Parts: sequence; C-alpha cells; structure tokens
Amino acid sequence: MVSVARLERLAVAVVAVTLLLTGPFGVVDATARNPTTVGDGRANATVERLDTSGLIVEGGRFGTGVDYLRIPDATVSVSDIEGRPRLVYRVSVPELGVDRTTTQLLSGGQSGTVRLGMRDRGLDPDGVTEQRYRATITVRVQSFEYDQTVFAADETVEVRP
Amino acid sequence: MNGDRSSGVDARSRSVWSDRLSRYADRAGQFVFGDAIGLTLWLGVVLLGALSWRVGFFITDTYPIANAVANLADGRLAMTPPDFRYSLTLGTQPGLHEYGGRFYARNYGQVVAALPFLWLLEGASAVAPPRLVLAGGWALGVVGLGRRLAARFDRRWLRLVAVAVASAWFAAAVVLATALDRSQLPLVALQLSTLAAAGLVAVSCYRLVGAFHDRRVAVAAGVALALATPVGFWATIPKRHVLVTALVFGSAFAFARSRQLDGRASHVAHGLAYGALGLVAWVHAFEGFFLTAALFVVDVLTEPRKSRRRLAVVGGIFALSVLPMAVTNVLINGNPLRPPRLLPGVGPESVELAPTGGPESGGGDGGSGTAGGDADADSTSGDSTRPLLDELFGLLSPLFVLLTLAETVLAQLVFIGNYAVAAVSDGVAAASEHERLWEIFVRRGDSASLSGVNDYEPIDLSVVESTPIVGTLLALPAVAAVHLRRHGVAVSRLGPRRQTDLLVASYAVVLTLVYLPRLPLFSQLTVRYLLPAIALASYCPFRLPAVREAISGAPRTTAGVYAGTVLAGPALVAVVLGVLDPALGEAIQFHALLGLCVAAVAAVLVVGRTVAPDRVSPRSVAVGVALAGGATTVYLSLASVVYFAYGPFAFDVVGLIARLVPIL
Repeated sequence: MVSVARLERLAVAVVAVTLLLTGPFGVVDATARNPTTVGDGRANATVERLDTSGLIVEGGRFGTGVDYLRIPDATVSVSDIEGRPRLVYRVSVPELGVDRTTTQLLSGGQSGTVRLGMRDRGLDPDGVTEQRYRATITVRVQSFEYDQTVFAADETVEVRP
Repeated sequence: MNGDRSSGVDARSRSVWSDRLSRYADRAGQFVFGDAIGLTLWLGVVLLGALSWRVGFFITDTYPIANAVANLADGRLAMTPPDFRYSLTLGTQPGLHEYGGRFYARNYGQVVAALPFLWLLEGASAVAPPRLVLAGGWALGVVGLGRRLAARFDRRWLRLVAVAVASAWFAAAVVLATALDRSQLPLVALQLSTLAAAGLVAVSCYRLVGAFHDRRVAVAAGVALALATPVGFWATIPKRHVLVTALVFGSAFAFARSRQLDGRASHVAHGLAYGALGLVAWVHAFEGFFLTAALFVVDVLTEPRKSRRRLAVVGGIFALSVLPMAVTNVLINGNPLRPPRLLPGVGPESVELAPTGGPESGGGDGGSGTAGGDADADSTSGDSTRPLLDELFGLLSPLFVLLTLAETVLAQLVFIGNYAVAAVSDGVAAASEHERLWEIFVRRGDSASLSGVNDYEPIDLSVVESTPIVGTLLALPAVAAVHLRRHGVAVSRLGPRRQTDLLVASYAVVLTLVYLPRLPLFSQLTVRYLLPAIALASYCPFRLPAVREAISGAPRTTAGVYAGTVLAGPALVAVVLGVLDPALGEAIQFHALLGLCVAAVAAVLVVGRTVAPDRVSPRSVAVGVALAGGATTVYLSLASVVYFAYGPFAFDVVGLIARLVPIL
C-alpha cells in the first residue's frame, strides 16, 4: 500500500517539476493556451436573444434610493472562430450619459452560444426627467483586423414609475 | 585519522548550527503564532482568503503604495514620474506626496512589509511562471494544512483529502493558466502581505481570547475575526487597514500577557504592547499616535508595577519601534516626526486623518504660529521649507544641530498635540449627531450614492450591516448592569482580563472618535476607516458570557450552523438574486438588510440569554451567533467572487466558477 506521506511527497515533487518545466527554462508555455487579450481573427455570430423590451428605467429596490437603467443580456451564437476576436455588446443612452460595453473574448475551437451579461446602470433620480429616452444597441465581432456589426437597433427606453 | 576527525567535527558543528537555527525558527514561530493551533489557524485563513483574491487595483489609493513597493525593491525611496509602474499620471494616484520635487507614497511600514514577499515571488518567478507559483504555493499550503489538521484531530484521511485537493487544484491551474506578467509582482506581493496580516489578525485574536478563556472559544474568535468581519473583505485589497488591525491586536495581546506575567517576560510584553503601536505609526502616524495615547492612559490608570527597570524596557522597545518611522521620515523630508501624510499631496483630493500643512506653514487650522522656528525666508510657497538635512550639513556645531533638531521635534509635537485635541473634540461633537451615527452604524442609506460617486451605486454598508456579530454587543448594558450589581467598580482593582477589556474599549473608542467627523463617506464599503475598531468590537462578543457559553456548550451547533450558512448561503443568495436580477447596488443592499435581520436575531438571543438564562438555551444563542457570522462570510465571498470584478483572479479556477454565478 502506498503511504500518505509518499503521496504527499509525490504531489510536492509533481508541483515542483511542473513549475520548472513551464518556467523560463522549461519546455512548455502553460499560459499560451489561454489568451486573455484580443488579437487578430474573425468569427460568425448571430444574436439569438436580446429582449430589447427589457431596456427600461425603474426605481431601485432594497432601499437603494437611485434609479436604474435595466439592461437585458444578449445571447449570441458563434461559429467558425479563427484567431482571437471578441464579441462587443454596447448600449448607449446619450441623454442619460450612459455608454456601457461588455466584451467576451472568443478563442478557436469554441462555438455555440455565448451569454453577454451587462450590469444595470445606476442613475441620479433627479436626472431622469423624461418619459422616454433613445437608446442604441449594437453587437459586434471585433479584432485588430476585423469589425463586423451583427446587431444594431435604435430602441426606446421607457421610464417606469 | 586526521581527515575523518575533522569532517566529524564539521558535521558536529553543522548539526549544532542547524539545531540552533531550528531552535531560533521555533522560537520565532512561537513568538508570532503562539502554538500549533495558531499556525494552523493562520494557514487556514490565508488559504481561504486567497480564494477570493483578484490581482488588481480596487481603490486608486493603492497605486502609489504599489509604486513605492516596486521602487523600494529597486532601492529607490524617492520617485520621479518615469519610475511609476502603475498608473502613470500624477492625477490618478490619491495619497502621492511631493517633497523637494520628488514623489513619495505613504504607509511605508506597509510598503516595507511587502518587500520580503516580493523577493520570494521574484525568486520563484525566475524559474517558474508567476501564475503557477501562486497555484503551487497554495497547493503546498493545503498539503501542509492537511498534515496539521490530521495530526490535531488524529484523522489520517484528512491528509489524503488535502493531497487530492492540492493535486486537483494545481492540475486545474496548469490547464487554465493565463499569463500573469512579472510587472504585476509588486502588487501581488502587497496583496500577499495584507493577506498574511489578515491571518495574523485571526492568530492574535485567538491568542488574546486564549489568554483568558478556553481553547474552543479562542479558535472560534480567531476564525470569526478573519472570516466573519470585514477583515476578510480587505485581506487581499491591500489597504493599510488589515495591517493596522493586526498590529492593534498584537498590542492588545501583548498588553494582556504583560498583566498576566511577572518579571522580565512581563516587562518585554509590556514593551511590545507599545512597540506594535510604534509600527502602526510607520503605517499611519496619526493612528499610531492616538492608539499610543490611549494605551498610555489605560496603562497609567491600571499598572501598579512601575519599576525603573520596567520603564527602561518599555521605553527602549517603544523607541526602537518608532525608529523605522523616524528614519523613513528623515530620509524623505529631514524631519523625523513629519510623516509623508503631512507633505503636500499631488493626487486627487483625498480624505485624510492628518492635519493640513505643518508647523512650518505658520498658521492654518490647529498649526501653532510660534512653531515656525526653521521656516525659510526664501520659500516659494507657504509650506515648503529647506530640508532640515541640508541645514544640518551646513551647521558645524553638533550642539547647535541637536538644538535645532530638538526645536523641530518640539514644534512638531506641539503641532501634533494641538491637532490631536482638535480631532478628538471634533469627534466628540460628531458623536452627538444621531443621523450620522445611524448612517455609520446601523443603516447606511443612499446619501453617498446620490452624490454620483461610483456611478450612483449604493455599495457602502454600515457597521452592523457588514458585521452583524457586532450587533450582539447590545447585550453589553445588560451584562454591565448584572456585573455592577454584584461587584461594583474600581479601575485600580481590575484584573488582567478587565484591564484588557478597558484597553480594547479605549482603542475602539479613540479610533472611532477620530474618524467620526469624516464619516459617512463614499467608497467605504464596510466602513473601512473603522476596520480596526470593528475588529476590536468583534472581539468583544467573545467576552460576553452568553456567547462563550454558547460556543463551549454547543460547539457542534456553532460550527455546524456556521459551516452550513457558509456553504449553503452563497447558493441560496445566488438563487434568490438570480431570480430578482438585481443591479450591483441592489444586491449589496439586499445583503445589508439580511445582515440587519440576522444581527437583530443574534442580539435578541444574546440579550435574552444574559437577562433570562432559563428562557434561552446556549444552543439557540449558538445558532444566532453562527448565523450572524455566516452572513458576513457569505457577503465577503460573493463580494469578491461576483460583485466587485476589479481584476482577474489570482487563481483562474475561481474565475471559471465565478462565470457560472449569474447574479448581476
């Protein structure tokens, strides 16, 4: 039977050897597989779900005392990814001074649906004076060499009491 | 034979040396951690705290500190703009100070504390990728923790579990590894230093409680301090607060030991109580000053043993402990008592616990006009003066040098004294404003968010909202009434335990008072200015008989309910909030209301147990207190994993998990 102490020593040894192998003098770059920054590349994307009626202004709950611009999630299906492009989901409501962007890096081999969530935006309740605002929503595939808008819409943001 | 004999001597001397070294290491370990449980506690807290670690800047105040770590590691105290590694411009670094055309950070005690961690990281990163160095360190820590727990509870399988967890963790880290640039290492080191300090908060609290009560209560208090108070929130956000908290607890523990021990050990412990505060002054001079004043008053009131020898030891240790601060200040601006915080700031406006200007500025609020002894005629602006060092070099007579130094020091002391009186009286005045107190301690409200800071998000919590276990202190009047009816009161006859209570209360009160006029303030998150005071207040429940009986009488209930809350809580909250789909501020205010509710429950149970022990069982008190502690832990875990996404996680695995939690 293998003793626990031997297992511990083995684990420590494996960690040490792996560290050396992936280090500056090693043979493998462990981080190359998992890029975190956008590069060159392209992808096909179509917006599957973006409930624009969810784009509204309403009062905050739980005693927050501010208003919120509620921003719906976007569900995008992607295919044929080459290189390292990214998805950019952008919502802007100029009259409220809101311009929000969320991005998601795509990498080769990944396909299927991607959910782009965007946080609601807090607003000064005194700054919300109109009943309606104009908003622009876009979803793009973007890389250093490529920029394709796959969804663009002008929407009306309703202010709910 | 000759050669054999000499190699035998070599081996013997080597073994003597290694014996001696390991003895020193043991003693150092004992000095810091106390015993094996203390070390285990520290390791556990550090490993758990690391899970929520994000490598990034949560608050812009951290830029100058991290820049100072990077520069000091390169041997530079003074910085010029090309030396900034993080945030390249001046306007984005609150807490950056200028003197003589060069730039300095503040909190140099904190900066220096991060250096050993930086050296370790730099060394390891020379042969391995930084990201995996962190993962490997964590995995080895888990193996070590497993061994300690297995030995403690006599359960061999714990070691197996630890090896399995560590291996899986490291394997996942290798598969998911993203790049962590070596330029980030000073920031990582700074975060590691505050994480280690958070572990020390737990250890010091464990030792402090352990000095008076049984081990179970002590361990519970240690765990609670790190995980059920905002100490855990700030563990990897490298502000000064956790480090100051660790030193303050170290001071309180040393004080308690000095009252329990006799002879030389007592003298040294007494000195260390002051020494820890001298180091606080290196991090934040004014916090150190106010704390030292509080300790001095309590000390004089309660210590009957004032031998000359004791005074010499205490004075010596305290003088040694303020030396690093004095040397740093001299190197920066020539005046040992003028910390960087008193130099002109170049970053954006920040709220400071420090007077504006200095004694040399000749006027201003609280500055004494007569103290402008060495003010220059040729100064270009009101508060710029020629460095004292220049003057010292120019002066030939050593006596005159001493006189000048004494005058500067005296002027600075008068200035600081005036400021201190003003700060405390402002605090007392602010303490009578009920609305302010309500916002700081009970319900935070939305006043700060409505001013537009942080995108109108109400992300701040009050003291009780963020630390519900403090709510149990509502039982204090009841406890005091019961005690007074039985024993009466006499400060001079207090035992070590009560003397320490008095000290802890004084620390908490003075730290609260001086910050009251500056609060409520934006970006406090958990009223961070009060973090040391909140931590001290969180120690107090463990002195309440009702809470202690609950922990020692129903340890399984306490641990079970806490563990259950911590494991099930985040999932429950995630499900509820997943349905409600809140904004960031709403999610945080949801936790605020939750915190207030459990605080109320815990408080009612503890008061009930104190007033009518027959009606409320220790078990129900245990449930209440464990729920209150668990509520904070749940908030801390969700806050770092989901709510505040200010940088990539130190461990990519956590990032993967965080993406699966669809709350916001």
